[in-house]
Amino acid sequence: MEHTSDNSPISLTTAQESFVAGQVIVLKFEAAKTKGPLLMITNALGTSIIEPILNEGGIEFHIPYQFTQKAGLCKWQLVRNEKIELFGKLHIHPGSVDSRNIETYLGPRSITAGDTDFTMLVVAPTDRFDNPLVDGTPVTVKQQFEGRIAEEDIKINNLMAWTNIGAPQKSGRILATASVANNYSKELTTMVYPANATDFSIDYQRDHSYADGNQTISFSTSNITDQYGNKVSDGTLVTFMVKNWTGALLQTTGTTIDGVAKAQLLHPSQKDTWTITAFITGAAKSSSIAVNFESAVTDYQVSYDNDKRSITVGPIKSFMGQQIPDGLDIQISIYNAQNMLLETKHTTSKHGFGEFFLSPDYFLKGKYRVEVETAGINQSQTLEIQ
Amino acid sequence: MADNQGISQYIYLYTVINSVRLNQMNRTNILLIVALFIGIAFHGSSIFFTLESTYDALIHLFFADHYANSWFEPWDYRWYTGFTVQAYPPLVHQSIALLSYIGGLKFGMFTVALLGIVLFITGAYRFGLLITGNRKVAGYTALLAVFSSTFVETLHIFGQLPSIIGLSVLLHALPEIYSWIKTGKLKYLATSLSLIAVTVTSHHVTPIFGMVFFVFPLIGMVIMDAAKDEVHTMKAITFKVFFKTFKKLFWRIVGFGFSSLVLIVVCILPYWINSKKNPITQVPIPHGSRDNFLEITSSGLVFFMIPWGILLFLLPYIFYRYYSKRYLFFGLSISLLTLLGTGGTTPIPLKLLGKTAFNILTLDRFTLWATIMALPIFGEFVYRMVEGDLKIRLQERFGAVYHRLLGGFLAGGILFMVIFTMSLGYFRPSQPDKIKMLPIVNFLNQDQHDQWRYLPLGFGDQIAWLSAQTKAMTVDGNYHSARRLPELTTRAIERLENSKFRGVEGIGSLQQFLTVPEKYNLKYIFSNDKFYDPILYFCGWQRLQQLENGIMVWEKLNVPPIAKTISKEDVATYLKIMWGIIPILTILLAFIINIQWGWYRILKSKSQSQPIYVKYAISYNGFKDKLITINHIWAGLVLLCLSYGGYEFYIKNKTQISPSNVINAYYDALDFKEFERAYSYLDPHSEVSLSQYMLEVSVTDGILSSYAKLDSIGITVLEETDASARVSVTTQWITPLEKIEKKYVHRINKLDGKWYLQPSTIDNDLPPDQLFTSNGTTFYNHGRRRITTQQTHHEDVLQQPVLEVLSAKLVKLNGRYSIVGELQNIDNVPADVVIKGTLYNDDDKELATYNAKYHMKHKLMPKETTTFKINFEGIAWSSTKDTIPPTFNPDEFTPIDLEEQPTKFNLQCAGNVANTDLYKQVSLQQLNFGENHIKGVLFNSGVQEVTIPQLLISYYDNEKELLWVDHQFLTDGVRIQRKQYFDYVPEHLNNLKVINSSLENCFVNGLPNSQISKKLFPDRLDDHGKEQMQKFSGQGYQFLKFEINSYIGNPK
Repeated sequence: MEHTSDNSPISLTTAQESFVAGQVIVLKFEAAKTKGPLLMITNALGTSIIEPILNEGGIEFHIPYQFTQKAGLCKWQLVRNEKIELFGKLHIHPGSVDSRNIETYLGPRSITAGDTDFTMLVVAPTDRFDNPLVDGTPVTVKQQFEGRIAEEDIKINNLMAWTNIGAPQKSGRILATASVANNYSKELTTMVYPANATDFSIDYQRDHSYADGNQTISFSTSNITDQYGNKVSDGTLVTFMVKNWTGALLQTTGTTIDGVAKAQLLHPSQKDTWTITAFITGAAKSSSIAVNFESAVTDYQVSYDNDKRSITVGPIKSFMGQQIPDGLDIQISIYNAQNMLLETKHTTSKHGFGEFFLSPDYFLKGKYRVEVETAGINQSQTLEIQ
Repeated sequence: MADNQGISQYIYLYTVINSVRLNQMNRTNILLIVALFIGIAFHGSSIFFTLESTYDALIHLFFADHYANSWFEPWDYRWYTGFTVQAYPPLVHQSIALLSYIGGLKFGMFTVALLGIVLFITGAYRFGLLITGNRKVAGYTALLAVFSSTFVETLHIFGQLPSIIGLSVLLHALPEIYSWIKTGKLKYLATSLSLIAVTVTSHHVTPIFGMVFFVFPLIGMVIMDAAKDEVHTMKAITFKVFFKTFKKLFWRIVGFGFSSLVLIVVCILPYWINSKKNPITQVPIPHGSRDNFLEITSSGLVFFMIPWGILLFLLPYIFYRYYSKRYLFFGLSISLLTLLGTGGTTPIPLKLLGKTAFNILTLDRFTLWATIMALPIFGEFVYRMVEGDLKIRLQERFGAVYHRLLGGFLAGGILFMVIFTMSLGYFRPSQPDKIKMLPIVNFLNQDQHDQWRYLPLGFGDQIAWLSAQTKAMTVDGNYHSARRLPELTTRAIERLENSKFRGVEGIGSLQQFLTVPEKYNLKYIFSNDKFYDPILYFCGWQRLQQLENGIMVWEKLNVPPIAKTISKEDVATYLKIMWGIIPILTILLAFIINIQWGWYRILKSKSQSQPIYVKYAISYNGFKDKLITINHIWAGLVLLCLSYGGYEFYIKNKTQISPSNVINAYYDALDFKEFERAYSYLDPHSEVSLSQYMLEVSVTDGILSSYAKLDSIGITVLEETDASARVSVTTQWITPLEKIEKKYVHRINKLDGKWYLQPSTIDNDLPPDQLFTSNGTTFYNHGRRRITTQQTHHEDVLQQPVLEVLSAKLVKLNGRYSIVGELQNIDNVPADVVIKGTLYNDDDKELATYNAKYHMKHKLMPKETTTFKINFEGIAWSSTKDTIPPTFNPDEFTPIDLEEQPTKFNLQCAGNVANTDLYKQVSLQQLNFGENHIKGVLFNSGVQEVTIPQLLISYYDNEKELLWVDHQFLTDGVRIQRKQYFDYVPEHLNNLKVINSSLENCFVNGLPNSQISKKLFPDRLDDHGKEQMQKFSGQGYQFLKFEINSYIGNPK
C-alpha cells in the first residue's frame, strides 16, 4: 500500500467512549484526505489493524465484532505515515447475565457431618459473550438440606463469587444453586456423610450351644452411629475378633447395612469359650461378650478288624444321639513300640464313622500305639498288627 | 472377484512370458506349466486357510498397515511405546500396502503370497536349469519345488513372505549372474543387479547370506565352466588352470561383487543406519531352531525333519553330485548350510557363527537354503529315476517291480510330507482360535479408550492383526528386534501376550507391567486366557466388562492418559524418502529390465540363443552301481532311525505300561483338563464312578486346579512289587502368581497288565444349610452421566476416597529393601488403592520406584485397613545394568548390591472409588500354633465361591510396631459355607533391620498424610489395631496379624 506524505489535519468525531459488549462500535474521524490512515486496536483478544471506510467528510472504522464482544479496555491508535496521529480508549462493559452461562462449581462432593467440614460453592456468571460480570454484582445462593432452604447474598469479586457451605450435624444431601438477577444456575449437590463411628455393642445368635463344628453362629452389632446420631455409612467394615480358650485370635468381618453389621463363623468342633470384641479400627470398639460351647460329642468307639489294619472310628454321636453331621475332622497318630511318631493321618467323618487303613507296605507286623483324636477327645490304644 | 481375475490374468501373462522366454522360443516346458498350474491351485487356495494362523504373516500385515497409513514416516507408536519400521526391509510390506488400496490389507497379503508362489516355482525352474543345464531336469525341479516340504512349511506354517520372495528373486538372479561373469555382456550385469536390488529390499538376511552360500559357489562354478572351455574336459582342470581362469574373470567378479555390495548398502541404507543407531540389545530369546534336536524332538521335527523331508533319504546322492568337480563349491556350501541348520544339536554352529550371531539368527533359514539348494539335484535324481539311466539300472538290477515300488515309495513319501506339514497347524494349533476383532476395535474407539495403552493377553500372533485395525497403542508388540523398553529387552520373552509359555520369567516380566501400569499409561487389558486373571486381580486390576466375542476387559484405576505429544526418534528426511521410494523403484526397474525386454523380444519374434549354461549339461548315462548301493544302505539307516524314534515315542506315550507312565499320563490329563481321560487311569475296581469323579473335579476350584500349568514332574517310586507300587510325585506348577511345588503320594495297582491309580479320598464336609440368605452393600458408579464426547463433566468425576497411612517403614531383610506399612480407607466409600514407593539416599538422590504388588489388599471397604509391602524389583532401580538378576523369579530375589544405600522413602498413595471385588466374607475359623507351623482353617460365610484365598501375614515387635509383611496363596479355593485348611511357615526376622520409620513423606491423593490425619481422624484410637494382634513369639518378632484377600474367579 502506498502512502503519500500527508499532514492534513484529522480529528475524532465519535464522542462515545463507553459501550456494552456486543454493541456495534464505529469510530468516525474527520479528515481531509481519505487515503492513508489506519486504525490499530488492542484489547484482551489481541491486536488488529483496520482499514478505513470512506464517508462524507471523513473516514470511519468499524471495529470487528470479535473485539466489540470482549469486555474490558480497548485501546486504539490512528496511524498515518508510520506515525501515531491520534489515540484513545474505549470502555466495553459486560452485558447482562445470560441464564445459560452461570457457571457454578461445588466441591468437595462429599463432606463429613459435624462442625468443621465444609464445601465451597463458586459462581462465575457471565454475559452472553462469556464476559464475567462486573465486581459487586449481587449473587443469591440458595441451599436446601432436610426440607429447609437457606438463602444468602454474596457479591462478585474478582470475576467470581463464592461462599462456604458448612456441614450440618446430620448426614444427608445438600442441594445448592445460585442466581443472578433472577437467572438460576443448575442444581448442585454434595453428600454429607456421617462422622466417625462411636462405641457400640454386639450380640450373637445361634441355633444351639453345642460344639458340633457344623452349625453357624452369627454375630451382629447394635445400631452403629456417629456422635450426632447418624448411622454410619453402608459398607463400613466391622471386624469381630474372637479369642478362643487356647488364646488364638480368630476373626470374621461384616459390613454395615443401615448401621448394623453381621458376620458369621462355624461352631467350634470341641468344647470352647469364645470372647468376642468388634472393632471399627481406630474409631470405635464394642463391648466384649462371651459365648460358651458345650461338647456335642461326649464319647466314641474305636474298633479294629482281625488283622488290626482297618481302624474304624465311630459311631460318633452328637448331642441327641444322632450321627454327627458329615465332615468332622478325625486324626490318628501312629507311634511305634519306641513311642516314636510314625505317621499322622486325617479323614473326615461320613455317616458318623471315620475309617483308616494301615497298609502292609508301610506298617509291618508288630506293636504300635494308635492315638485317635476328634471333637477334642483323645483315645489311645496299643495294638498288634498281624 | 474381479480382482482375482486380474491376478490370474497377470499370473497367466507372467507364466507365458517367462516360460516363453526361458525356453527361448522352443516348445514351452510342459513340466513347468504343470508345476505352476498345480502350485497355484494347491498353495494358492490353501493359503486362505493357513496364512492367517502362521507365525509371521500378520506381523507383515501390521507393517503393511503402517505404510498404507503413513508411507514416508518410519515411526510407529503402536507397538513397544514406539518403534521404527526401518528395522525391517520394506518391500513386501509396501507392496501389500499398495495393494491394500485396491482391496484391503488381506487382499494385499494374499496377492503378494500368490506372487511369491509363482516367483518361487519359476525361480526353482531357472535355478534347476542353471545347475543342470537340462530343461527336463529343470521341469522336474519346478514340480518338486511345489511339493517340497520346506516350502510348504515356510509358507503355510511360518508365513515368512519376505523370506520367500527374497529367496525366489535370488534364484532368478543366479542365471543372470552366471551369464554376466561368463559372457561379460553388460545386459546381464543389469539384469542380475536389478534382481539383487529386489532381494535386498525384501529381505536383509537373504542377500547377505545368499552371497556367501549361493553366489560364491556359483562364481566357482562359472570359473570351472570357463576353465573347461580352455582345457575341454573337466578332468583336465587343475588348480593352476582354475586360478588362471579366475584371474581372467576377476574383474567381472569384482565388478559384480562391488556393485551388489553397493546395492546392499544403498537400497536399505536407512535400515543399516538404524541398526547402527539402535543395536539390538535384546537378550537372546530362545528359538526352537537353536535347540538340541535330539533332546527336544519337537524342534527337531519342525526345524529338521519337515524341511528335509524326503530329501533325507537321498542325502548321499545329493552330496555325491554336489561334490563333483563342477559343483564342488556348491558341495561345500550345502555341507555348511546343513551343518548350521542342525542348531544346537552339535556345538559346531555356535562355534562357526559366534555367540552373537548364533543367538540372533534363527537357524532354520540355513536348513531352508540347504533344501532349496538340493532341489535341482533332487530334480535330477527324479528325472533319472523316472525316465533316465537310474531307471534302467534299477530295473536291470532289481527288476521292474522294485523300480515301481521305489517310485511309489518316493511319491508316497513326498505326498505324506506335504499332508503332514499342512495338517500340523490343524492338529497342533500354534495359535488360539481366531478372535473376532471388531468388538475390541469398537471398544477402543469408544469413550476415548484409545487415550490409554492396552495389552492383549492370550492372543497369539493375532495381536498384530488387532494392532493393524486400531490407532490405539500397546506396550507389547510382535517384532522383538525393534524393542526399546529395557523391561522387555532384558527378558528372554517373545511377547508379554504369551508370557505364560516362558514360565516364571515370562510371568515375572508381565508382572512388572501390571504392577506399575501408570509408567506406560497402560489402562486396558484384553484377556483371552483366564490363566492371567489371578495375577491381574492381585496386581490391583478389575474386570470391566466381557465383550461379545468373549474377551474379558480388565482396567486399572488411577492411570493417566497418554500425553498429547509423545517423543519419537526422528531420522533425516532423505532417509525417509529413500525408504519410501527405493524399494518400489527396484521392482519397477527389475520389471522393465527383465520382463519388458523379454516381452519386446517375443513381440519382435527375434529368436534368441540358448542360455550359455545349457552348454554344460551332462548326459545321464551309467548311474553308478556303488552309489545305488550306498544310497540304499543310507535309506535303510534313515528308516531304522525313524522306526527307533517311533518306537521310543510309542513307549514314552503308552500310558499304562509302567507306574511312572501312568502317573505322567494322569497329570498330563489333569493339566489339559481332560478329566475323562484322567478318570480312565483310576482303578476300575475303586468305588468311584465317572460321574462321581467328574462331580468331585468340578467342585474343586483354586489356583492349582484352574490356573496352573504343569511345568515339571518328578516321580520317585518308593516301593514297587509286581502288582502294586507306591509313588511319590513332586510336581512343579507354573501359576500366574508364583511357582508352586506340590507333593503327592499315589498308590498304584496293576490289573490285567495295566497300571492304575488309586483314587484319593475326598472331604466329606457337609454345609449346615441347603438355602441361606446373605445381605450386603453393593456399589455402582455411573461413569459418565452425561453422554458427551467432551471430557467427563466435573460433576461426574467422583471425589477420590481419602486414605490414611497408619505406619510406614523402610526395612532391610537379607540384603533386600522393602517398604512396609499399614493404611486405612477412612472415607465412606470403598476405595481402590495404589501405593507407590520411592527410595532415596542421604543426598536425596532417587534410587528406585515401585508399586505395591500383591502384598496388600487393593480394594478396601470404608474403614478397612490393609498392611502392605513394596518390594523393589530389578527394573525399578534407576541404574538397571548391574542390578538385574540374570533370571527373574517373583519368589526369589537377587539381593541388590548398591554403593548407595537407601535411607529415606516417599510414599504416594492414591484412592479411587471401587465398586467391584469387595468380597469380605472369608473368616479365620481356627488357628493352631506349632513349632514352626501355623495351621488354620478359613471359612467362607458368604455366597461367592472364593477361587484363590490369599493370607497377608504381618509381623510386629514387642511394642506392636510393624516389622514385616508376608503372604501366602492357598492352592485350593474356599467353597461357599465350607472350610479350607492352610499351613503357614512363619518367616525368620532375626536379620531384619528397620532403616527408617517415618510418616513424614507420605502423601495421599497428593496431600500430606499428616494433614489428612489431623482433619479427618483427629482422635484416632491406636489401641484398636494393637488389640487385633496375635501373640506369637517367633524369630525376631512377638506378634502376628492375619488378613484375608479373596479372588473370585467367577463372580455371580
